[in-house]
Amino acid sequence: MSDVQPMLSLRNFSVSFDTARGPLYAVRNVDIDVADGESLGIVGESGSGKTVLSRGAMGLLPKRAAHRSGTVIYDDHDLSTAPRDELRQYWGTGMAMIFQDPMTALNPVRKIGSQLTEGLRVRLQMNKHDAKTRGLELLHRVRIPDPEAVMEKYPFQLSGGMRQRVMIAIALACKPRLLFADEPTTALDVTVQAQVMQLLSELRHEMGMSMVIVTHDLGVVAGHTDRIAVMYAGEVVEIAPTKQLFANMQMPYTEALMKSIPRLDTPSGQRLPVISGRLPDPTQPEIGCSFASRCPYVTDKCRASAPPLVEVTPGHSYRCWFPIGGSR
Amino acid sequence: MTRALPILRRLGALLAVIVLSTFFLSCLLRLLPTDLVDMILSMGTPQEKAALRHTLYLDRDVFTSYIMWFSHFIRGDMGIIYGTGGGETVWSHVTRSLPISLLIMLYTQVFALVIAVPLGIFTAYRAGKKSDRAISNTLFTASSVPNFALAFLLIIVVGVKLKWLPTLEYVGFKENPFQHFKHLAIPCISLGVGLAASYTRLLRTDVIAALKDDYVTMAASKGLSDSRILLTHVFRPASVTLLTAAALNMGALIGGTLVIETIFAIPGFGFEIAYALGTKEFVALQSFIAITAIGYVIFNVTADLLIGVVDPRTRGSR
Ligand SMILES: Nc1ncnc2c1ncn2[C@@H]1O[C@H](COP(=O)(O)OP(=O)(O)O)[C@@H](O)[C@H]1O
Ligand code: SF4
Ligand SMILES: [Mg+2]
Repeated sequence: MSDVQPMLSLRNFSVSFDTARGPLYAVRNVDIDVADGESLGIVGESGSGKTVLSRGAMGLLPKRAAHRSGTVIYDDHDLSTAPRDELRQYWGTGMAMIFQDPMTALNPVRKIGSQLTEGLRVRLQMNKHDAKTRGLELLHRVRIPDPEAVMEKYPFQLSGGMRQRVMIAIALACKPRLLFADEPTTALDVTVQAQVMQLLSELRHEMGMSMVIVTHDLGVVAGHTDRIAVMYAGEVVEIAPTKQLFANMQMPYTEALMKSIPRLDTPSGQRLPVISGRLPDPTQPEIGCSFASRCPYVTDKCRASAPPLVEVTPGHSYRCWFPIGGSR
Repeated sequence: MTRALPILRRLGALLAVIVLSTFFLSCLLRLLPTDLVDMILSMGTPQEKAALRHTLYLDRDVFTSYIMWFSHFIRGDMGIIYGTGGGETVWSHVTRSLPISLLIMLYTQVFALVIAVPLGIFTAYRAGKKSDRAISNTLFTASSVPNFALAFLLIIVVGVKLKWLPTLEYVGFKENPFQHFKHLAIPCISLGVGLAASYTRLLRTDVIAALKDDYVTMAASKGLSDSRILLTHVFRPASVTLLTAAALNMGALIGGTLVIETIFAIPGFGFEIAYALGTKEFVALQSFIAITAIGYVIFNVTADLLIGVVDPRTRGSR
């Protein structure tokens, strides 16, 4: 992506919140590019800042509570300083989002049909009839049986899998060039998860759109992304092309995530090795490496100073004083 | 079937409340310090008194007499106003005065909602800012003034000093619509300001909560304008609470309306009750109070049913 201008480019992007306990640093100094047609995975455990990062990139965070810094460049436009009215021109068409929980992201008291078609009517100025036809097509496309009936239903009348498909249809309604999918399968049964990921991949290829898939499960994105960024405590700690990351991970946190991927041969019900310990307090930034408190390879140097982002091979960078591939 | 069941259960409860409250009234009539018959016919002969005792079912045991009274009551046969020499029935007084009170309650609700809906949405949208604080504080102050005090204030300022609005008596809508509204303006405003304040506060809280919900962010991510999101995504769920409050307040409004009517000499139901109390028309009073209790129960049940219509989540499940 060095010679091609990326579609979306975050530079030194940070988000903090005002809380009772002082500023909470949710996202810290993130540099990420998303190229045209690319699929990027953002992986990290719950609380690592993935949702804040993706909402922040879109400009969807509440203005008053969230402080953003750094730049967000979409095509040639700097969105980090753009007023909400300008951002709105990109929402739905330039960028769209699938939200983490389809139960809370769909309005409980409005019918699926009106929630699906309102974007078409407002953003694409479709008339009622065309919007409905297009809405039915979309529902059909995300493999919802009996779209006519579903249009007339309320979210609570659908199963979790159906709700997630509806949300995908809504996000794709205005043919966005870039789709953020925030934990698109977390709320679903395991059997449905694979189907939904498959559907998203198909739709991405069909529509030629770029996609950012946010998940806490490295296994979910393995087969569906070109590159993966690993997030920990608000930072990108390793970023690499997907194959490269699996073959040659450098950062101990990536290794720990890798070990927690469920495998087909894992007897069901058996607990996977979880990473012991907790994320550091986001209101108390670490002086050293943010993973130091949980890292099996930690040394005094790690606690004393934070490792910078270094590049091993083109497109593969990590933060660690003692990378796994290197001499330890 | 499954939908009819909760409604039937509610209607059962409604009936129970009505029966219990009216039966209680029946018992009270027997416990008056002076015998009811002696009170009405203080100069009557023993035969006349016995006849009246029979008409009022007081010669039966308490249960039989209650059942007889109730079976006549629901058919609109509520006896007569004795002070008029028997010329007027209680029912005629009910049909004359009740619509007036219901109109006052309706106008008051409309007034309160018309004020509260825009203010509630606006203050929520601007929560914490100067305009929100100014409006919220003003409403809070206004709502802490009792109805009757506000009524007197408006009478003195708007009615007597400025002479903008009449402060006494009632004009029917059919007689003169303009005068009708003019005469009811101060009473309804006095009743409605407190309601408007509490509705605004409710709506503001609800809208603020809804604005934090994911579906609002989701609606924004579609590229919809703020005003569209406020109206189509936020107001509808928030209006459920508002509607509940409005319907529940109908019951509470009964009391306020009765007081306001006596202040403004409006010949509504409250005026009738006050008159019946003052002239010891206990037979009429029993029916008046029973009607009030029934109204109260009906308003509350209607509130519940209305919520089901507006919020699809509660349909059938209640
Ligand atoms: N609106 C908010 N106000 C304060 N803190 C927040 C807010 N949203 C998120 N956070 C905090 O930011 C951090 C990152 O959260 P999030 O992005 O939701 O994590 P993830 O999506 O990776 O699970 C968490 O510590 C969370 O508590
Ligand atoms: S810098 Fe040290 S503590 Fe941090 S991940 Fe590397 S080895 Fe572990
Ligand atoms: Mg999240």
